[in-house]
Amino acid sequence: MITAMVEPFTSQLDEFKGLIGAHYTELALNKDKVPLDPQWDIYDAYEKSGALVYVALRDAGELIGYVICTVAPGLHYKTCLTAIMDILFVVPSKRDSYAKGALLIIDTLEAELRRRGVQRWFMGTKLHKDIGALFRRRKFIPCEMMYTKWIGD
Amino acid sequence: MENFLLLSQGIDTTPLMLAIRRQPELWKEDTYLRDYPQGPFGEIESIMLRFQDRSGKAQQDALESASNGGPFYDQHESIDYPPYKTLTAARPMIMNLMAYVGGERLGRAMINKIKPGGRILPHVDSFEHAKYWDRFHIVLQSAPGVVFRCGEEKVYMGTGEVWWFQNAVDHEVINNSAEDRIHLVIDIRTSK
Repeated sequence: MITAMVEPFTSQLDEFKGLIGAHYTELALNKDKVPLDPQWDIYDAYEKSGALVYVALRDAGELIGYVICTVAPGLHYKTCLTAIMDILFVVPSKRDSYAKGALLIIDTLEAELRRRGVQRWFMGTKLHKDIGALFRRRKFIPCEMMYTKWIGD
Repeated sequence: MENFLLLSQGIDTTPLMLAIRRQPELWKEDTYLRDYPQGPFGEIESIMLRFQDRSGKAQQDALESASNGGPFYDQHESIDYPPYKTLTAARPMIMNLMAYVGGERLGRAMINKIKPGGRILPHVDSFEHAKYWDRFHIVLQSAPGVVFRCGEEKVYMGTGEVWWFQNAVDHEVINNSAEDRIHLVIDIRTSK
């Protein structure tokens, strides 16, 4: 059985840390220069302020996926409560051709964001592992493309 | 959130859990809820602490009373069941909750266990019952993966937490954790 629901984040950090390494290994860019080193205190502050939503995907209690999203008025649209995805991941062994787990996460997150009165919601995908089809299936429309360039040398 | 309210956290559930562990036979003694025809509780085990008198005596007494001009049968009356005497750690938890919420009358009290993978099927508690009583949960044991849905809302109730929830609304529980989910469920009449 696979279920998804909104859960507290910081108080369950240890199990989350057990997954984020695999997430980083599979999807992160510039790994030779940018180590995984989350600012947990910032996550904690966001959660305490009510600006963080964490949806956990579980199978028999085991954490098998997650999404983290921030919720706040837009920086230059202060009347628009906006949700922005931070990270989304489902462990490879739990992915299927129907993307059931990821869609369950998205649907659960949408219900929570609607409950909170969010008006605009942004989700993102890495282009080298594009999951845009999932978002389009849930009626998202592509709106922006980000470019990256390493200038730290 | 309209259908759930977290009242308290950090309740020490260990004394009651220890008492239950030492009397595991209690889980098998009363299968009323589990066996209720077409009921939603087919996958749970229960320890009844307080419940209606199911011996028939209360109804008989009420009939006699009514025929003599006395009061009719009170469907809300619950009596102590034997485990309430032996699981002594339950009483102060229940009475403290009674005091905390300003309870006027104590109704049912039961300990329900859902095994990993088990569920309480979607249902609505009977109108008269839900209207008369408030429903409280003291979480004796739980683990992430337990989903408690009421209406459109879902919560995870952690061990040691005390919750009120609106049992007049369609609700269900799914235990998608690796642990038994054990709750002390209490009905309390409060001023309305």
